[in-house]
Amino acid sequence: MKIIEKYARFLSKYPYVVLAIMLVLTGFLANYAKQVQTKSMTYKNMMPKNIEVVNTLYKLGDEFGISSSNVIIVVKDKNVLSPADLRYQYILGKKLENVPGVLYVDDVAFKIAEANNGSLPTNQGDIDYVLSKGITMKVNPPNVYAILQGMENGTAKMKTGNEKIEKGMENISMSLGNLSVMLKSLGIMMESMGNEMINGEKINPEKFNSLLNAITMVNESIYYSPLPFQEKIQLLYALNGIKTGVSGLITGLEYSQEKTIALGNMLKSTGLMLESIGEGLSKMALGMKKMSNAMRMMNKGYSGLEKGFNGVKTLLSQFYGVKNVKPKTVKIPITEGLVNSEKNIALIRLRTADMSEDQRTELIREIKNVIANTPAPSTANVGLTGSEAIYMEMREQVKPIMQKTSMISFIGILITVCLLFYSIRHGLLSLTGILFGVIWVYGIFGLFHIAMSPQTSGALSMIMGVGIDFGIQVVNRFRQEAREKDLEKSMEIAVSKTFFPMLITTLSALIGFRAMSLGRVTVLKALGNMMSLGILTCFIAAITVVPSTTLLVDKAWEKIKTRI
Amino acid sequence: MIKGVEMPEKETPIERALKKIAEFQVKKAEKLVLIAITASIILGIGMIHLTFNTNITKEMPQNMKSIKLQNEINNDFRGGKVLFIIVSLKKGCYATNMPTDIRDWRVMESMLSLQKELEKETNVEKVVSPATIFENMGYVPKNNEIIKKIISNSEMSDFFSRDYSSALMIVDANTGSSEKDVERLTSDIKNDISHVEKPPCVEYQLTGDAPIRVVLLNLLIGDMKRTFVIAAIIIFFLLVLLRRSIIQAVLIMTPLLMGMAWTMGTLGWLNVHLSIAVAGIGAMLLGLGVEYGVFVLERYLEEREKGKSIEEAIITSVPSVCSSIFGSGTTTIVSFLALATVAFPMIRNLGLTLGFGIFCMLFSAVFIEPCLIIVKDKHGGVK
Repeated sequence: MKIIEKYARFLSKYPYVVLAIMLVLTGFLANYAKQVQTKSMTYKNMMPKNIEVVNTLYKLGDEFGISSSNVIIVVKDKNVLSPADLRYQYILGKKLENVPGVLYVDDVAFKIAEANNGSLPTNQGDIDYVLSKGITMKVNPPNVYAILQGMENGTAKMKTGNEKIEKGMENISMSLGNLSVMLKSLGIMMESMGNEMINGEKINPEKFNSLLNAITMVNESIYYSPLPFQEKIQLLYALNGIKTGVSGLITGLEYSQEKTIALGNMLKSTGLMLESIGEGLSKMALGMKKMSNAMRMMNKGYSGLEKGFNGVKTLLSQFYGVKNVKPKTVKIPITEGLVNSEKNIALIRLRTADMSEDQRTELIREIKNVIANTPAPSTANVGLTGSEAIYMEMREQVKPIMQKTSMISFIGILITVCLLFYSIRHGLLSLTGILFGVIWVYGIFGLFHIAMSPQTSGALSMIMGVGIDFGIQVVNRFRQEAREKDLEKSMEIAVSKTFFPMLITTLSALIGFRAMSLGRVTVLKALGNMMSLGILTCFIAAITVVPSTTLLVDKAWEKIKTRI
Repeated sequence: MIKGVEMPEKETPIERALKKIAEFQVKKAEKLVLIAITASIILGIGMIHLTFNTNITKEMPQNMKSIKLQNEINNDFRGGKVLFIIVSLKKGCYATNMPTDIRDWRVMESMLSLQKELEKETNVEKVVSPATIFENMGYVPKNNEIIKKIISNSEMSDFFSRDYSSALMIVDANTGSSEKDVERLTSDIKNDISHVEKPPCVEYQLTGDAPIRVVLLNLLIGDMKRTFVIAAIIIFFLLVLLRRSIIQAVLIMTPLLMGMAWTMGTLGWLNVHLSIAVAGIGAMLLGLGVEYGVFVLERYLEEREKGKSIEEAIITSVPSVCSSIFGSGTTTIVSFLALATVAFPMIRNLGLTLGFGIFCMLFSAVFIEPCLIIVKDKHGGVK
């Protein structure tokens, strides 16, 4: 408390020293006050960064270079789809494509030109015709075509392979059938000879020779047949055995008539065995035949598939223009989302890159230039909107808003304090606190490059409203003390007695504003920081500028009054 | 000795009026306290009706050229509100059979399936993404090389990040104007995203104005509560520390909290949509309003220390201190109301809300706090 009293005494004794120091400080900060920058109000600006949806928004800019905001140029006319209006929109769109920062231009004139083989129709009839045709889609179909072509070719190859297998099976079936018949005939022949021998009939040796020839023929047929190797070997082995047996039989018949019956039985059973083998082979031939038929059916399926692929391929070529490059046309109106149903409003939508505040301001300025330098049809009315344009226009409003609110606030406060004190002089003197306080705040903003946004543009007015309390307290107490004491003593008491309550007020106000800084929404933080700084500077001005100025002015006023 | 001869020595009209108020407070202290508590409860209930407006376009001057034009075209054109879905390979995630390139056929199939679901939503106008190619083809080839070829031959290169670790889906939607519409649309899209089948280590992230508004709304409500509670606790402990008395701290804080209930409750009952900048109003009003209570109690105690009775101390202190806080409060209200003159709804609402808040704080400090002091001093003292 002694320090405060000492300071109050010093200030009362040397008010010009305190004032001079404060004026130097004010001069220094006033230079920076001119450099205060402004920024726009966007969701990105007011949100904390550690939230997924905001991180994704930053990712959108970092990885895709796209801004979440957009720019829309609005063209209004009696018929925005008239040749003149379309030509204007086409030229404007082309110019806008070249503006740095513009990534994509969605323009109805572009779509009409694209649907008309790249050139903009010059008469209403052609325009209406193109509009009735619909939109051209740019999808890459050759790969789909290639896939289908590949599938068609594959199917054709499978079909060819299948046909070969089918033919092979057919041949096998036939040769097995023949072999079966030969074996059966041989078996029947041997069975008949065996029966004759059992019955004691004399057998012509020529018959044996025929049998041996038949065995040799069957042998050859088996050798060249498509039978499996094992079966082939077994059959050949068996036939050779039979052949040897028959040769032996011819010799044996000459020596022993008694053995003829036994030999006849053996010949008969061998004949029956060969018949049974022939029957088996006949069944095999039949199976092969069935398989061959199945393969033929499969081939019919493959032909169907081939036709199907070919059909889809043809269909695709009609829609996507495959090899013959025929553009796909679907029934989507060209004007959708770009021209209203009355055809009196057309939009040119721009998607822009993710940029800094200054670059965005420059982008909007450049777009405005392009619009201004592109002659529009005389009846057309062209305007600019979209979130990006709105944000930037709002940014331009920040300083005028601050000036207006500060001025109204200042005048309102002046009237109130003059009425409160019944004195214009003391009313003005109590205002010196906020005057200096606001200059310092502005200077600090400029010095530390703190940008003002639309949300914080009212902060100055609020600082003035809160900061004036300090000036009122000091001047009010000074006036009360000056009723009985001299000016210097009155000010000494006023400063020392109001210092502590003002400090409490400042601290509590700072707590309130600092608590705002603990919010996650950045706009609250910014507002809280600015208000905190403002309260602090107003408090400092209230204990330095206000008492020193009040004392010097009142002393001068008294001297003037005394002289008069 | 130079005396300030022109200083007014008689009571000002304000002081005279305040003296009459002080006499009334002395007579009807208990009744006034009861009325204040009842009013605080009734008005305080209105706080549950408080709503925020997170649409920043609505917070801007509606007479601005670009905004007028935007409102005009909003009536003629549906959609126009863009939402973005980034489909990306999760960083630091490893799984067997995970896609290593976002152009994986499984990712495309998943995107196509999401695109179809989104297109079913009534408020979704259009969805554009790499899956659009496959939507037109009718199927997704199950071969990554074919997918890459198709994409490289299409005009979709802008829909992929340079390293092909993420792809973009653009959803053109008609979000509606109310907070509920925005919340519903965002919730529907999130729901579609959560139900779509995703390959391992692939994630979908939603952004754009609509989902940000939903998050912003929650943040604002959270911030409003958080900043108010923090400010109230710190100010209370500061008062206890400085006054070295819990009773005195409570005597200062009670009218403050009543003023807060009147302010916020009235706004709730009047169905006023709070703007983004107003979220810190609780903390600001507490910080600004506490001085009124401090000055009233300080001056009362000063008079009591001089040996005056409760009634005398009130009748002496209220006119002198309240004229000063009335002056400072009025200037604060005037400066806040100056904000109401601008065409910027956000600033205008902030000015009006704070002006009304300071008025409530001032009213409770001038009319209710002296009554509370009288009641407490009569029942156990205020030390």
